[in-house]
Amino acid sequence: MARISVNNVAVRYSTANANLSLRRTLISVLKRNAANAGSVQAAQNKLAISGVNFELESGDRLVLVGGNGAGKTTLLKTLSGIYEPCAGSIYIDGTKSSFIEIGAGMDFSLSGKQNVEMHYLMRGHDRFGLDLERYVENVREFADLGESFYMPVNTYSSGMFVRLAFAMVTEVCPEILLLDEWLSAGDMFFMEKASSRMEELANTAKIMVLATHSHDLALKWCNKALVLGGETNRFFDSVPEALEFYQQSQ
Amino acid sequence: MKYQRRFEYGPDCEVSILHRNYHDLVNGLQRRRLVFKLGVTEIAQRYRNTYLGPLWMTISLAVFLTILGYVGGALFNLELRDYLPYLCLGVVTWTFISAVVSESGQLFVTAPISTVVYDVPMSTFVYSFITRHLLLFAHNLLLYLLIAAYFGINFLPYLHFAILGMVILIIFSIGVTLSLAVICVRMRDIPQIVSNLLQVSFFATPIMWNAQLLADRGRKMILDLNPFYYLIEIVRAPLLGQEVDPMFYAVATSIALLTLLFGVAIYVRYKHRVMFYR
Repeated sequence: MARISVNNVAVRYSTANANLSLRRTLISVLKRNAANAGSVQAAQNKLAISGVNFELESGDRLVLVGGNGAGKTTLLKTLSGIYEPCAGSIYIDGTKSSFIEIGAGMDFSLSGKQNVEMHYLMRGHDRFGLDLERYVENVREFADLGESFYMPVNTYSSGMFVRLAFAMVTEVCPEILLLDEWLSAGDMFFMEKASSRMEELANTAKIMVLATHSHDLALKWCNKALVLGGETNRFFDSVPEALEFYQQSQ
Repeated sequence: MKYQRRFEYGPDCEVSILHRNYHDLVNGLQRRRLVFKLGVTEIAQRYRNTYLGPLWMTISLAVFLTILGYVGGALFNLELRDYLPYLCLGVVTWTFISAVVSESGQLFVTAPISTVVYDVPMSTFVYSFITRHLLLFAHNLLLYLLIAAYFGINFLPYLHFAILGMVILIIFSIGVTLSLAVICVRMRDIPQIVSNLLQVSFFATPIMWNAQLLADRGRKMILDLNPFYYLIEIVRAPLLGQEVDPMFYAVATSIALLTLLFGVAIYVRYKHRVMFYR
């Protein structure tokens, strides 16, 4: 049984800005100008999402709908554990995997193989009885990069890079799949392989959360929708209804 | 063991954020293979495409010691036999301490923390950072072994004290890294202050010169108040085959534990904010 429960969650961005540097802080402390310091603080803090509520159970496929800056990726990153909410609570039950910036953390001066090995350790596969050599072999086969697999990643074309990243993150299927845009990669031949693997993943995962601008994908895959729009957002049990609401609100 | 399946985020959770941050510290320690791999990879990266690799560090240290040993020996009127081993250990230990202190501020700014996506505890990067510097330290220590062998210094009877000293030093390093890594993400001016203080500390700490010299001239206070003096002495003296006043271990342990306590407090309190400030 997998489950995601999001209760009244808000995420606030606070940026480290030069204005908030030690000098500023010291000056404002010395001047005892508390009011001024407060307004600077407020300007630096931005509520990215707030009042988000939803429950997902095994079998649910949620699509996040919203324009740029509506908070789709922020919500995904929060579910991934990158950003800590400033209000509310999130409970997740199930192994999860986030496909956000899938190449992130890859070291360009290491070879493809070394990156795959590192990824294996990062994901903690070593602690759960997944064999390293088999994992590397599977990724190598799927990415199909030939001898380049043993070359530093900075010699790769962007297409090859994506193929490697795609192959290594999708090798193990999680119970909860967090997706920032549907992944597709590579040339025509690889794209076919990639899309069939994506479909397999989306079918196998117990819960999927997908952020996308594509209404076709939303309608094809999802049974629930969350329309995000800054401070207001609405949860729908039907995707067509949600898309209609979204289009009307624009 | 199983993959993690339960996750809680947010201030309204049953498990408090402080508790979760503390768990991050503990979980990081359990990822030993990753910690070691990250540490080794970092070193390999730095000396990528060089013929001699990390040996370069030891070579530059050897050059430094030769010149300084020659000049300092004459300056302080010391036999090379007494001065060079002392200088070597001081510089090697100082290199470790100063590298940890000065680089820890950049740790969370540059570490590939986007990988927390993969449920890597953030503290893993702290431990791999310490591991990397310990490996470099051990590498540099080889130079001392050569010197010790050449001058016939037998430190084996005191080896356990040196190991105890290293443990204290590691505790201190973890404390420093935990606190500075978190603080410096938010306050980017701190690294500047730290590097400034470090530069001064090098001269105010008996590394190039002997502690006795300063004590003889009535400036003992600089030694008494200098935490680095204790931290270096507990490793250096036993390796020189000298007995150390237990007081040094007591003071150094206190310094290390206080630093660790501070580091853990800062980390547990603010770790979850790091991602916002990067």
